[in-house]
Parts: sequence; C-alpha cells; structure tokens
Amino acid sequence: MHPREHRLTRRNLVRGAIGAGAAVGVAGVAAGCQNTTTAVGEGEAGAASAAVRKLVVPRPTGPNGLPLPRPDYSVTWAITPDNAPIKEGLQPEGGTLNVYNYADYIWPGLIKRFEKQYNCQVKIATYNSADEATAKLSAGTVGFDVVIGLSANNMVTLIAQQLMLPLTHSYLPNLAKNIWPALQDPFYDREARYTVPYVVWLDGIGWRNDKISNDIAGMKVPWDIFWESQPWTGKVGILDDQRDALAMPMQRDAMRAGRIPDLNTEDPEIIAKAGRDLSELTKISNVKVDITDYQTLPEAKSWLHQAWSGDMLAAVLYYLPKGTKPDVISFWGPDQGGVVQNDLLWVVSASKKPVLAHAFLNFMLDTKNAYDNFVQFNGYTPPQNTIDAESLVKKGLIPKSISGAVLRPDQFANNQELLALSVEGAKLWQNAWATFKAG
Amino acid sequence: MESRWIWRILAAPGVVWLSVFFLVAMYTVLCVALGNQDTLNQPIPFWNPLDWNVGYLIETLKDFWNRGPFYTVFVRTVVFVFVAMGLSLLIGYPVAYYAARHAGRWRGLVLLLLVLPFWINYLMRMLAWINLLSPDGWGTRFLHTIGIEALFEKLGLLSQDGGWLNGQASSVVIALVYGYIPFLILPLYAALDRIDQRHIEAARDLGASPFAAFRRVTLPLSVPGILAGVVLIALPMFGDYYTQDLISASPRTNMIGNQIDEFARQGSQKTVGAVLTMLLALVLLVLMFYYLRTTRRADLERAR
Amino acid sequence: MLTWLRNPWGRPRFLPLVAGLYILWSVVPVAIAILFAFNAGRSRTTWQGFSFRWFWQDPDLSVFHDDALQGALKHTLVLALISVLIATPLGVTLALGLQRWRGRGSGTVNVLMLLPLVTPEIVMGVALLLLFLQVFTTIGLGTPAQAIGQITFSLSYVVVMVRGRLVSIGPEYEEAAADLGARPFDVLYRVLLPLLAPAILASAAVVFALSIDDFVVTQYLSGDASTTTVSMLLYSSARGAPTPALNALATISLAITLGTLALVFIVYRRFAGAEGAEAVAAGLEV
Repeated sequence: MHPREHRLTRRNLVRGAIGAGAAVGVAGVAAGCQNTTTAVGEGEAGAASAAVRKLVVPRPTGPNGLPLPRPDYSVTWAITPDNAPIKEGLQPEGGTLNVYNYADYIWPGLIKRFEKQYNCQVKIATYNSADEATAKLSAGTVGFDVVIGLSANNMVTLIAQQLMLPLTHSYLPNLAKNIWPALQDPFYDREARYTVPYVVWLDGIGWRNDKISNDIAGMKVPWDIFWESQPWTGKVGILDDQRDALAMPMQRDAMRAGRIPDLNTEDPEIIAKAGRDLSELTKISNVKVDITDYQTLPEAKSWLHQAWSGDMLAAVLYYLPKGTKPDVISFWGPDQGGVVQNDLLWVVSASKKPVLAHAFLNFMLDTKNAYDNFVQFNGYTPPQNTIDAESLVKKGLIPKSISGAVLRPDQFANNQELLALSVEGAKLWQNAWATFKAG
Repeated sequence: MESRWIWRILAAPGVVWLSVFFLVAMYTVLCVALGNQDTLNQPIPFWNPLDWNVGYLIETLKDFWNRGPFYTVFVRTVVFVFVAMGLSLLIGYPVAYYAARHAGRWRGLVLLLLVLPFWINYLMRMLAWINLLSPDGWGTRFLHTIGIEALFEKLGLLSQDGGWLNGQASSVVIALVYGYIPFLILPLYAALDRIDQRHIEAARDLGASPFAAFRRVTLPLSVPGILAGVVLIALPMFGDYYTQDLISASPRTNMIGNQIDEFARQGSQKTVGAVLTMLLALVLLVLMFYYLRTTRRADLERAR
Repeated sequence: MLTWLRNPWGRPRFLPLVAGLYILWSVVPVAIAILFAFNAGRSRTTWQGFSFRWFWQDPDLSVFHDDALQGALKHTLVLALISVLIATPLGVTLALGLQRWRGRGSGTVNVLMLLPLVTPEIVMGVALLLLFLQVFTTIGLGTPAQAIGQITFSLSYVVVMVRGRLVSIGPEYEEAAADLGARPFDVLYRVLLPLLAPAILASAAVVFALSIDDFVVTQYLSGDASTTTVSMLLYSSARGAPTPALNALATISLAITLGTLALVFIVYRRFAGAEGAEAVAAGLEV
C-alpha cells in the first residue's frame, strides 16, 4: 500500500469488466463448470511455453503472462507502434493540465509556480488508493494527463492496458541532471521509458526517544525491539498494510541470520511464519494496527511504531503539538534487506496535452522545485542528487534524530521494493494477514 | 374496476427501484461469490446458476470446519453480540418500562431523550467515547476515581490502567451496547406501552403483589417485544466493523464484519469477501425473517 | 424522603434512577464532544477555554477554512438533498400502492419492501459495491451510486411511516370522496395527499437524517476523494490525533439534522397536532 492511501479511507476499488478484465479473454468464462479456486486465465499463458518451463526456473508472472519486474530481473517495456512517443521539439500546449494524484501529496505553491511558468491551468483530481486510481484510469472516462503516486507494483497492470505514454526524453533534461542514477534506469522500467520517479521512502521504526531510552538504532537487529516491547504495552504499533507489516518479521529473521530476505517471496512457509510472528506481538504488547503514526507519535499516544520514513519527517515538521521539541522523535531504517519504495510520475497515453505533461514532469524533477515540495509540504524524499540528510540538518530544518528518514541512494539500492505478486502469492500473503488480524 | 390498477401503477416505480437496486444487488453478491477471478485478481461473476463455481465457498467453509481464522472471528462475534444483547436488555428493559408505565408527566421529555440518539451520527457518538476514554480523557479519570478501572482490571476485563482503547473486548462490547441500545429501547417501549393496563389491574385485584403482577403478566406479554427488539439490534451488530475499528483496532477484537471488509474491499481475494457476505446473510436470514413475521403480524393486528 | 429510605428498591424509585442514569450515559458523552468543539486549544481532552476557533476563526484548520472538512460537509448535504427529493415521492407512491393493493403479489412486495430494513449495512454495502462495479459499470462509484444506495435503504422508512398514517386515516375519506363522484386521481391528489402531508413531511425528515448519518453504504460507494462525507471523515480521522475541528464538524452536522427535525416537527404540529407524535412513534417502532 502507499502511505498516502491512509489519508481518508483505505479503499481499493474492484475494477469492472471493462478494461483489463476483457483483455484477459473470453476463454476464462468458458471454464465455468469446474469448481475451482484457480483464477480464470491462469495457467493458459504457461501452457504455450511448457517446453521453456522445463528448462528454466519458473518466475511468478503477472496479468496476461507479463513478467513481474524484480531487482534481479529487470524489464524493459517495449514501445509499440500503436502507442508511440510524441515527437521532439514541440511547444507545450496551453490550457488545462489534468493531474491525478493522492490528496495532499503536492505542495499547492508548486502548482501555482508551474501555472505561472507555463501560463496554463492545473486541475488536480485525487484518489484514495492505488486500486481506485487504476480502476478509474482503466475506465478511461476522465481525461487525465499526468498521474502522480502509483508505484512499480501497479505498473504491470497499467502497461498491460497500454495506459502509459512512452516518454520523449528530450523534454526531460532534469532526469539525467538531477536524479539518482539508479532511478534513471530502474529495474521495473529500464531506460525510464515510461516513468520518472517522484519520491522515495523507506520502511523503518519511528519512536519517541524521550519515552524509550533503548538505543534501537544501535541494536544488532533493531526489529527485535517489537518483540521486546512488553514494557510499553499499548503504545506499540505496526502498519496496517499486509505487505509492509508481514515484511517486518521476514526482515528480522533475515537480519538475525545475516542474509538478505526476499520480500516478494511466495514461499508459503516463510509467509506463514511471518504471520505467526506478528501474532506474537499481539500477545506481547497488544500491538495496534494502524497508519496514524504520523499523528500519534508526536502526541505520544504511540511510542514505538513501524513507520514510513516520509511520515516521520512530516510528523516532525508539521504535526508536533506546541511545546514538544522536534528531536524527541527518532527514526531508524535498514541499510539493506528492507523495504524501500518509490512513486512514479507518468503521462497518460490518451492525454491531449502530452508536451505540457512532459514539461510538468521535468518541472517536478527540477532540484529547487523538488526541494520546496519536500520541505514545505510533503516530507517524502525526492531522489535528487543534491538533497541529503546532512545539508538539511546543517540548515536546521530537521533534527539529527530523524536524519535517518531522509533516504540515501545507497540505501535505496540495497533495499527492496514491494512488488506485485502472482495470484497464488497474493493469496498467501492475504491469508497470513487475515489470520493475524483475526486475533 | 380500473382503480385497482392505479395502485399497482403507483407502486410500480418503487417496486422497480427495489428490484433493481436491491434484489439484483443481492443476486450479484451470489454470482460473485460463486464465480471466479481473473489473473488481475478482479472478480468475475457467473450469472448463470448452472455455471456456478463453489470452489471459493468450499475453501471458506473448510476454514470454518478446521477452526481456522474465520471460525475464530465468527465465534468471537457471536460472543460479543450475545453479551451485548444481554447487557442491552438488562439496561434497556427497565428504561423502556419506566418510559412506558411510570414516566407520568415526564413521558414526553423522556421519549424525546430516548429518541435523540437516533438522530446523532453513530460515529459521532463513538468519537465522543474515544475522546473520553483516551488515557488523559475525562472518562478515564472518572472511571479511575470511582474504582471501576480497578474492578475491571481485577475481573480481567482491562489489561492496564487507562488502556480502555487498547484492544479491550470489554470496551468493544460496551460500545456496541451504547451504540445499538436505542434501537432496542424504542420497540420495547412501544410493546410495553401497548400492554393493556387492565390486565395488570386484574392481576392486582386478584391479590398479586406489584412484583408478581409484573412477573406473571407484564413480562410474558412483553416477550414478543423483547424478541423483536433483540433481533433488531442483533442484525446490525453482526455486521458491525466500524465500532471495533474505532474503539480498539486490535486483532484481539476483530469481528466478522472486519474480515468481510478486509476481503471485499481490498486485496486479491474479493470473491472470498463475497462468499463471507453471502454466508453472513444466510445465517442472519433466519433472524431477518423471524423479525419480518412478527412485525407483519403486529401490523395486521393494528390494521384491524 | 422517608418513604424512599424505607423502600429504596421499590420499583417506582428504582426505575427513574435507572432511566435517569441511562439517559445521562446516553447523552452526556455527546454533550462533552460538542463542548470540546468550542475548545480554545488543540486538545480534545483538556479544556483550554471557550472559542469559535475550530468553526471559522482558525485560518487553516477550522471547518470554514479547511477544504477537506468543508467539502465533506457540502457533499453530505448534497447527498441528503438528493436522497430526500427522490426517496420521498418514490416511497409515498409505493406506500399508497402497497396499502391499497389487493390480490396477488402484495405480500411479496411487502416483504421486498421490508428487507432493506433488516439487512445488515455491510451486506448492503458489499452488494451495492459489486452491483456498481459488475453490473452498472457506466454509473460506477461516486455521487450517483452513493445517492442510489441511500435511497434504496431509506425507501422502506418512508413506506412504513406513510402506511402507518394511511392506516390511522382509514378509508372513509376516500370512500366519501368517491361517493361524491370524484375520479380516482382527484381522490388521490385532493384528499389523500393533504391528509398524508404530515407523514410525508416526517418521512422526508427521516430520510434526510438517515442520509446525513449514513456511513457504511456511503463509504463503500464513494469514488474519489471528492465524494467524502462527514461520517467518512469522522471514521478515518477519529483514531489519529485530529484537532477539535472534527468535533466542530460533527457538531455542525448534528445541528443541521436536529434543526431540520425541529423545523419539521413544528410544521407538523400545526397540521397534525397530537397525532403527529404517534405517527412518528409508529414509524420508529419498526
């Protein structure tokens, strides 16, 4: 899940029969008479490549048999003739640019700046969850030009429906100039053919250092603190997201054993064990499951919480009650083997203002704009080369205790993204989560 | 006479609306529950009953059979609802009785105050409790001062000081009572109000003490009202998920409504969500039809 | 006093005590929540003085200035208005038709009409969600879907209340008018409807209140962030650390509901007198 999905409701829309469902093919419906829980359409793509499967270790696949990108299995998306990039050297169109974004995810001042610079109007429509956005985009009824906020794990579905416009990089000089090299050519979209990054974040631990004096960052396996959190019963929380939460005990086990976990695993044993480990937390410290840590930590309603890095920065920058010093909140994030995630900026293939859309992307990749967005409003780190924790601490913008929440490129490279799973895999994760949630 | 058709024509729009937006909706749940999913994890409903796929239904029932998480949550929900029903009756009956038979000149005011919770947003009422029961809230301090906190801790109903909102089953049950008791009190009041005073007078004339008259006349006559009211609040309680979310948000108090919410709106197994919804509706169908029969009988009686 | 002491558990003493305690328990928490809407500080648990800050004074966070809060309030009222405008006529015609319907089908329709009243909200929510995503995909989720969902469960309330009134009116007026030669349409329009006016008004008020306070169906059928209602906002913010602006929003919403009901009640009394209270009670007995 995306951290911004918590702003209002965590809603995931079920996508209708229009769109990718139809693309899956009529063959699925004909399979009606069997009593089965195998998804319709699953296994059909595989049949054609049975010979291949014999000789190659099978990888989980996504819709229509498309490959699921992994850090060790990067994917280059083809540019097809029926969805061609726009020509170079065109002037940005005027008029209204329709941007689709999470609520409260971009600084309003930045929008005004863009409008002035390009003499246009920007209209922002908001969505509450990635599924909702994907559903609306598939329905194609509203004409969005730019989409902010979806991640790599939504990408395959979008590509499957050819909703993304291949980018023309001559309009995006800031990409090469300012952005972390790793994200200029990410594994989920080699050569950044369809997307550019918006912000990045890390899953870690946020805590009140005035209530908990343990040196969590100095522990051999900081995740252990949750299983030792009995003294702070009632003040401990984990994220209400099945992927982020279940990934935590997996990271803990891996750290103890000195290896790197696969956080996109589909191994039933590992997933089930993670669920059991989380259930232990309920007994140990009556752990809460929510996503309001960006408010409850500053108010000391929660003392120890699994947290998204950007939320902790936001907590320090905007949510502290009067009289509370900013350095009471600490954050630790793993240097490797943990969960890292980034957002995408991309252009909708049916956009009527593609050049202006490209200009918007380039505008967001500009250092000053990204910095202002980060510090004035967002709290989530833009992957800019010149923005780092030290300069922010030196400028007195953030206290040292929270500097771990500003991501470094090496942290991004050595951690893993939570990516789309196959149908079977998704089922395993959800079942483990439901078992934990059932108490 | 042609006037016969006027009434059917008048009723037609409403009937069409309910058929389309209620019956078809229910049928859709059935067809999704007995359908399948595509590789994008989106449900595909199977509209033709001959095509129905009971795979997901069987898997879910197996979970119940094997005492899996659904079973645990369902049992917990039943326990919560029954305890809440019992408490509601314990508190609600005297209140309804007072309003119906002893309020005298205060009756109008009392009725107004009893009806008031209907018009206050349920969530606002819960929000009020979240404020009061937070660690530094007035409610917490009050309960601490009058010793209830200590009592609950001794009874094992509260795990730590000020921890009312930390996944306490007792808090959730009491919140359910608070939320739904008005829906019990009013029908109970109406039923008690309808009891002919002369029955009681007759019993008193025959020498019964006030308490005996109550026990042998009023109470039995109010049983249909009790049953109707109790069923009326049991139905929404079974499907409740937001009370627990607000008052506790802990896996320890997870209810079947939460599981339905989790599966039907998010994740990759929305068919399972539809199956759970269907199963819950079937279980509650018995209650629903019982209630409809008693109200229809009451309606017909009144019409006579 | 002495009689009370001699028999403190005598029912007449015990009952008012229980009833009084219950009413206090029922009403006081909400009163306190409303109180804190006027808190001068940010806390929802520590009283820091009286102020209208969260209603309009605070330039960023008050209900008047915060777009999210305002938007939710507006959307809630829009939905309530749509529900009333459609559910009331639909319900009145259904009530009339159902009450006078003799013969086959009336029993089934009666059950159909009562079913939404006894269906748990989450079942309705899931059913309607799937309906708009699998069947009526052109409507999809959003304001129209939310309105349709609310109308669907409000319909039954209108029917029950109007029918209650029809029953107490009895058939004499219609028969008299028919005897005097009035056409069925005239009977309906000039005799029945005026007699039913109080019940129609009351049921419209009930639909309004139900719509404002609805949560599950509205949440399930909401589309993007612009279709958030007050209930949804209360739910999603309550466990975080919201400011008293949330209390203020809830208070405003409550004031609108109670204000509308009071208005209707006053108008109602002018038309129907004491019968009005009975009709309302009859409707609420469901």
